[in-house]
Amino acid sequence: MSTFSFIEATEWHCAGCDRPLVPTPVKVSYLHSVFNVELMACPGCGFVYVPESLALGKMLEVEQLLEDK
Amino acid sequence: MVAVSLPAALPPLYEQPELTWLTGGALRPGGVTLTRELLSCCRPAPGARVLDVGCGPGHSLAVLADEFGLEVSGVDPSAAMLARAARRVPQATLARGRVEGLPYAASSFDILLCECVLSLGEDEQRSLAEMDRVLQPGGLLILTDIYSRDGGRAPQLAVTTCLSRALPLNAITDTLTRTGYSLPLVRDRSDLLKQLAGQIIFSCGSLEQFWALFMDPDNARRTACTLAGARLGYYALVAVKGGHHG
Repeated sequence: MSTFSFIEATEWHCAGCDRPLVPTPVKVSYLHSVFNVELMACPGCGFVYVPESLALGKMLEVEQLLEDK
Repeated sequence: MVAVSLPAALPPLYEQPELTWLTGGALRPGGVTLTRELLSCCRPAPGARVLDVGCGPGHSLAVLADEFGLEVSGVDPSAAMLARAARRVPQATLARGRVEGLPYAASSFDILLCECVLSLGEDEQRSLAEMDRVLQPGGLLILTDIYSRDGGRAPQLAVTTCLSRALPLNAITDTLTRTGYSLPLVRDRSDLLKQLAGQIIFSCGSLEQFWALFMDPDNARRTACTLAGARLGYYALVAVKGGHHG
């Protein structure tokens, strides 16, 4: 029931498996917490593509939240 | 459970499918993992009578019955929630009611479980007194809830939420000890509140976008802004009735 998605059409292929990335539910461990996020990943080896919007945007927002005020 | 006062046409937040999905169905920080953790600390005797106050859709009732072998009862003001609980835990005895007026005789239960519900009531002193009435002497009261880390200054929001009714933790513990309870376990579990807020950001894009699912954009922005400056935490405690005489 996620209303927001990091899934995006991408030209990226997994270098090791040479397979296109597909939407995959993954668990992101970050600052001692674990979050369920759907990201593009290789269906063969599980390699996960972390988009810039996640790394520089949402991660920062969550980091600010998790830091003790 | 987390609830927001909404226009009459909309069901409360804890009946919204988004919150069910975000919390794995338990509708509160920590989910049944925290329930299991607290019950494991208490080591209740199989067959003990337990009441889940504000049982919602019955996720905790299922843990209490299936994993701990307890005789389970649940009470909730929502008929929709009770219907889901009845399907999930057919052996549970269910009743419609609120924490301020529990439909049970005095000393009916060995254990009371009240997860993120006390702050939803209109009068926490009355709610605690009512739970005390139906708990037998020597019984266990297991509480988890939002609390204010600002010494009593709960956030003033454009809408009424349980977050607005967050009390300082010592207001709860002082009342319990004054009433004669001992507190063998009091834990700060604010990590679970942050975990849920973080999951909301990953799932909805931002906290503001989450609130906008249930209210107009202006109120959503104000609510997110106010909560960003609030110092809220989450606690878990186990209290023993009659375990303290002071």
